[in-house]
Amino acid sequence: MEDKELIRRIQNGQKEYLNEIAEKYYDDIYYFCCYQTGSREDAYDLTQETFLRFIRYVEKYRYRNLKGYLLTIAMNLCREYMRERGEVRQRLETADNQDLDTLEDRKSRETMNRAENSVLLSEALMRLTDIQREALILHYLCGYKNREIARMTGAGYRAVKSRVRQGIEKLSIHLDEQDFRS
Amino acid sequence: MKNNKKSKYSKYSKYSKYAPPKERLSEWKFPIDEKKKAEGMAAIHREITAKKIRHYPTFLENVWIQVKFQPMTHWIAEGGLLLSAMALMLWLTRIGNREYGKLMICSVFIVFAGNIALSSIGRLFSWHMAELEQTLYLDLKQMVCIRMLEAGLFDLAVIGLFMSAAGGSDQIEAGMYLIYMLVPFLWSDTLYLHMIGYFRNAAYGLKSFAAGMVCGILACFPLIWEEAYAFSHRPIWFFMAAAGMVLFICEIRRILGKIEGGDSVCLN
Repeated sequence: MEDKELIRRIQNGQKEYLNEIAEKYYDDIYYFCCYQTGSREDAYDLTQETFLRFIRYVEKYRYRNLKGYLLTIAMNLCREYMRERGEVRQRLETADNQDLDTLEDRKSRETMNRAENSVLLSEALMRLTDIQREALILHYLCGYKNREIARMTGAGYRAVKSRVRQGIEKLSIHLDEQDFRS
Repeated sequence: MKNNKKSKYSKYSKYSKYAPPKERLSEWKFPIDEKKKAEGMAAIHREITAKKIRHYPTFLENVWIQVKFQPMTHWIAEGGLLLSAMALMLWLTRIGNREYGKLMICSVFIVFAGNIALSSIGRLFSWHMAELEQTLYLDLKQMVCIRMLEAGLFDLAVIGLFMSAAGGSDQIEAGMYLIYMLVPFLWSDTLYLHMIGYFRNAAYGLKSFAAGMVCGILACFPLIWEEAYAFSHRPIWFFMAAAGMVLFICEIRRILGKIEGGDSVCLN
């Protein structure tokens, strides 16, 4: 069912469709929060809070782009989270041993590589400024165009374009450094 | 110059094997802990179960509700005024080249029409409206905004009619014609809005009507001051138009602010 229809039904009182929205977008919101905050654990809480806020105000929501709306809520929550944390940035916890063991048990080389890559990427992302990281995640991970990101973040189109460009350049350097170290 | 300026990172990014295209980034999604996800989904599900969906009317629904509750006299008055404006427009096209006479008639008419259209807002400032708002879950601010919007559309229609009939002649350009009509209209509306806040409800109708008349009569000042439309006085008109606009906005803000505060306007 399309998002617009889901919202229409929810606003007409069929609240069970909220579960469908949560199921549909949970992963996307989780990955956004995770890469934005650098904390796997806190990303679960932030994702949950994103949906709770959406549910609280769903009657007033006027449909445009549901995923974009959810990401905007998540973005604001992540900003709040980062502000509370101040300058101390949490690094993404390296994949804990238990996870790696499980992966090794499964002999799934591909999955393991992906897990390692995600840690490398997260570490490199955390070295960017908040706004660069935000723009980069929205552009590359969530697939939004610069103009859409500008609308979501309230920044100018040129500012977003430059954040994405500078962000990706910095990210490349940090990833190169990590590659050299490893 | 701009194209030649290279970023300090560009030499790295060009050769980086990790330059991350979208596909590459999406490959780096790690497996989500299903247990924690299930816990989160359970909390979301609990919130959904407890949620009560309420209907919030859209803007158009709100407008329709307001329109339905306007008294018939209001629609008759506005309809009558529109018909009079059309009749006046026809007459103006027949009387020929007396531009300043036409202008004076139009500006006085638009002032009175504007005040009559605004008079329905006065009812929203009746005594005990704040209690009524609390009891019946009314939204006074929204009601005032919708009624002002309706009055504004009515005024625009009348101004449009006059501009099409009399505006833009050899003697007075269209823009200047609009300013000559807008200045008395803005000042009179501002003054009237200020006064209806004090005269409150229909029991004070006479005072409210008198206020509308006084504000309207002020627009007849060119009858006394013959040089009012002289070319040399145009900067004064521009200044008065700008000041009128600022005052009008301030007055609307004051009204909305008073509704927000509540007690000073509506409670007694």
